[in-house]
Order: sequence, then structure tokens, then C-alpha cells
Amino acid sequence: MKRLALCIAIMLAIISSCLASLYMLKAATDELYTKIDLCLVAYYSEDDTLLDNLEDFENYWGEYYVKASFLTRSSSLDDISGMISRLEPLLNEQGDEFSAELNSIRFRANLLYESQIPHFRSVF
Amino acid sequence: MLIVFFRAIILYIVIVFCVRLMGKKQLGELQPSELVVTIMLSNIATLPIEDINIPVAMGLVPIFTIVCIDVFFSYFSLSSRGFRRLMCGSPKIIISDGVLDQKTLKSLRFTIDDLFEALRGQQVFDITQVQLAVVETTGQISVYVKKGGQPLTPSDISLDFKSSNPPQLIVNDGEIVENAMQLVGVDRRWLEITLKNENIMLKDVFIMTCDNEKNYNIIEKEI
Repeated sequence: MKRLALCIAIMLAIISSCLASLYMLKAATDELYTKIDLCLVAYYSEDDTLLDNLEDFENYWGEYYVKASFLTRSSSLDDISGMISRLEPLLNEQGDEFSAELNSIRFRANLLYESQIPHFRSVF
Repeated sequence: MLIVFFRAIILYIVIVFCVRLMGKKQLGELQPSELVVTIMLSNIATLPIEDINIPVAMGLVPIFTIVCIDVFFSYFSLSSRGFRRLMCGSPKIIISDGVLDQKTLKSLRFTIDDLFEALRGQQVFDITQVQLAVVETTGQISVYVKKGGQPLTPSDISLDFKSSNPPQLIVNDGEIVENAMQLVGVDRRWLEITLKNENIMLKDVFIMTCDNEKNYNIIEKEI
């Protein structure tokens, strides 16, 4: 009976940690969207705060990387890290690619979060 | 490299814990469901060790989930015979009163060689000597030999005998084994007196065994 109780406790711990990690990832992804949006707004309005926002976004990505690396393959995160490292050179080129890259990062982050949600199609 | 090293340690500890959690049954003959769990565990555990891209949590969660489900199913099997049959199957009689049930043998996909190998493993060389042979759910064959072929036992010749426990190890390398002492009905005081009579210190005893009749055997430490 002790073994059964231990297994029930482990199962409950697994389920709660799965839900907690999903909640944590959702909160972190929302924060990431906010940072991206701030960069995009500053970029379109040609605001002076763009560089600060970009730096803030890059710093936050470091935190996000650590959190998400417990849940997903690090290779997908490394791909996004590569995209983020290209942002500053793209900004200096002053083309449209900067905003396109930011949107692409947003899309990839969304995919990353979505891949953790147990949809019917992802389970089966 | 170090990541793989640490992961190997973590997953080794987790797997040992999980096998302990599944109980001693897992270490002996495996039921079909237990075999599946064992294969899955060994496979899942190696993935995060080999591929550092995969988070350890992705290995730990399925391992613990599978083990917990196995324990739940084991408890459910205890209360439901139908469920137990579904998970483990049922034993099948293949030899009854020296007669081989060929239909059952075929349905189990047992060859004659398999059967004779198992019988020989149980010291049976003549199929007609077998009263009952059963293929257990683990795939092992249990054999009950006809009375005429069984060795003579004291009860067969109505011999009066007293049952007793085998001698127990009560001192192991200078350390007292309390449980064993209780089993043979001796206490520390008896041990102290006995060792004093034998003129030997407890720390110098390598092995000391004792039975219910308080017959003991002492082997002294040589080094």
C-alpha cells in the first residue's frame, strides 16, 4: 500500500509539474511577445529607444532559453538564438528584413509553445 | 561529455529506484506486461543520455509515468482476476497424466524441442512420468511428476520428524544480526556467555551460525 501511495504521489507530482511548466512557458512566451512588440513599435516609429529595447529583448532571450531548455530540444532554441544574433546587423542594414526577422522569431516562439500543448494531433 | 556523464548517473539512480518501486517480482521471471515495461524503461533511459539535445525531464517523466502505471495495474490485477488474465494471460496445461495436449502445445507455439528441454531441466526424461505439466504465464514449465517417480520423503514412510528452521547467521564479520537471533530464539546475553565460554571476542568472530536447538558454529577471523 505504501508503494501505491508513493506512485499516486509521483503521478500527481508529474501532472502538476507538467501543468506548471506549461503555465511558466506561456508566461515567458507572452513576455517575449511583449519585448518583440516593443522592438517592432520602436522600429516602425523610428524611435530612439529601439536599441535599448533590442538589448532588453536579447537579454530576456537568455532567461527564456534557460526556462525553455528544460522542456524542449535545445536545437530548436539554438535556431532562434541564431536568428536573434542576426537582428543587430539587419538593423544596421536598414532594410525590411529586421521586422521580418522579428516576426519570424515571434512565429518560432509560438510554435515552440504550441508544441508543448497536448493537442489531439500531437498526441496521436 | 560531462553532461552525458551526469545524465548517466541521474538516470542510473532513477532506474534503480524505479525497479525497486516495481518490487522484487520484476527481478525474477517477467510477466508479459513487466517485460514490456522493462524494455521501454531501458530504451527511454538511454535517449536523454545519448542525445544532449533532449532535456532530462523528457526522460524522467515517461519513466516515472510508466512505472507508476505498472504499479497501478499490479494493484488492479490483485483485485480483478479478469484484468489479471488480460495483462498476464493464464497458465496452460500441456501434459496431463502422461498425455501430451498437442492442440495446446501448438497454440502456444511450443516446439517438442522446447518442451523436452524444459522437462530435462526438471530432471524428467520420460514424458509418461509426468502427472501434470503447466506452461506458466512467464513461459516457464512447471512439472509435477507421478507419485511413483517422486523421491521418497519421511512422510511417505510415516517417519516422525520435527520441523525446524535452518541455521541462521547471527554474527556477520563481528556484527550481530538481531533479526536472525530473534528467529532462532537467542539473545545478546546468550551470545555473550557462549563467546565467553569459547574464549573469543565478538570482534574476532567472522561467521557464527545458530539453529533453534542452539547448536552453533563459529568461524574466527583469520586476517
